[in-house]
Amino acid sequence: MDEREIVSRVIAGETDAFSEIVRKYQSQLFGVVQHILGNRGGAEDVVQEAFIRFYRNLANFRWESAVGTYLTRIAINLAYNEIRRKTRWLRIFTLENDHVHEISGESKTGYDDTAELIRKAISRLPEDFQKVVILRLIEGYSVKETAEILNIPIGTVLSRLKRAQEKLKNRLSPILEERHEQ
Amino acid sequence: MNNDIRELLYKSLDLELTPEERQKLQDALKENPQLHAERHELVRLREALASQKNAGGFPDVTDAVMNGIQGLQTDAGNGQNSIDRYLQSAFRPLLAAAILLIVLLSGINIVKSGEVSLKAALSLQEASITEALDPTLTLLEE
Repeated sequence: MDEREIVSRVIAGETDAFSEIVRKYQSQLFGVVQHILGNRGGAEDVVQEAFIRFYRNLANFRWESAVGTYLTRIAINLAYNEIRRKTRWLRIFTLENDHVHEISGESKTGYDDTAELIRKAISRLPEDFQKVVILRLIEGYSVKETAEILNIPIGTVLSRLKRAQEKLKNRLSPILEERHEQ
Repeated sequence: MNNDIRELLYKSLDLELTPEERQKLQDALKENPQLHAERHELVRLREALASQKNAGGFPDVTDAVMNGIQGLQTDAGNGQNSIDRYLQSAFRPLLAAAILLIVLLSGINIVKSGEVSLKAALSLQEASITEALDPTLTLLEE
């Protein structure tokens, strides 16, 4: 069924039709949200909340972007809000401020898993760079889709990608090279 | 290294280059081993990042979302209920904190007095209930 038809039916009162939207996009949202939250947990709550917020604003949805694009944008914002909320609580309840460790130090102290190193390296990037890396380089969205989801020009996506890759290359290349040689 | 060529190198990994751009980059890659090595590093980095994509196995949230939506509809249909629920949820932590404080203060009083009794818990050893409830009376007497 066409998405416009589903949305029209939901607005007309056929709430059950909304489940088709959830089934169609939940994996997509989970993929992005899990990369943003990392090991923090809470992806399920964020994904649920994204759908519920979309439902609540359905009457105002103007089709300026596709449903998947709009939902992913909501989920990304909610995921970063969740990180900020958790960081605030962490700061209140712990005295540990330097929980971000140096990658080089981690590799010497037991962080041998490449995936974990990549995750840590991404988490140390500025938020705007993380978003383009997750969407374009991990989840495989096109540059155009990434631009639409983040509501920024394609040129901005390309420049953020370039700067993010330069940073990641500096941090990860020696490790990736080493792993490749082994 | 020429910045334009590096821009072109990064761009080539995300967008299709024009025939002229492609030729320019290919020529530069042949001539410049450093650029060639950078391209190799970038490709390896991007492969490592792409391999991080989760293959699936996510929980199905359809039922949870639909239940949440049903809840919204119920709330919308019964505004008073929703206010009541809001007040309940807002005051529940306050009530818990107050109970905790009372228990804590009573405990301190018992420890201080060394006697386990209601009187000790309320710290009424030296004052009558009337005095305890009306501190102004004690002040006037003094």
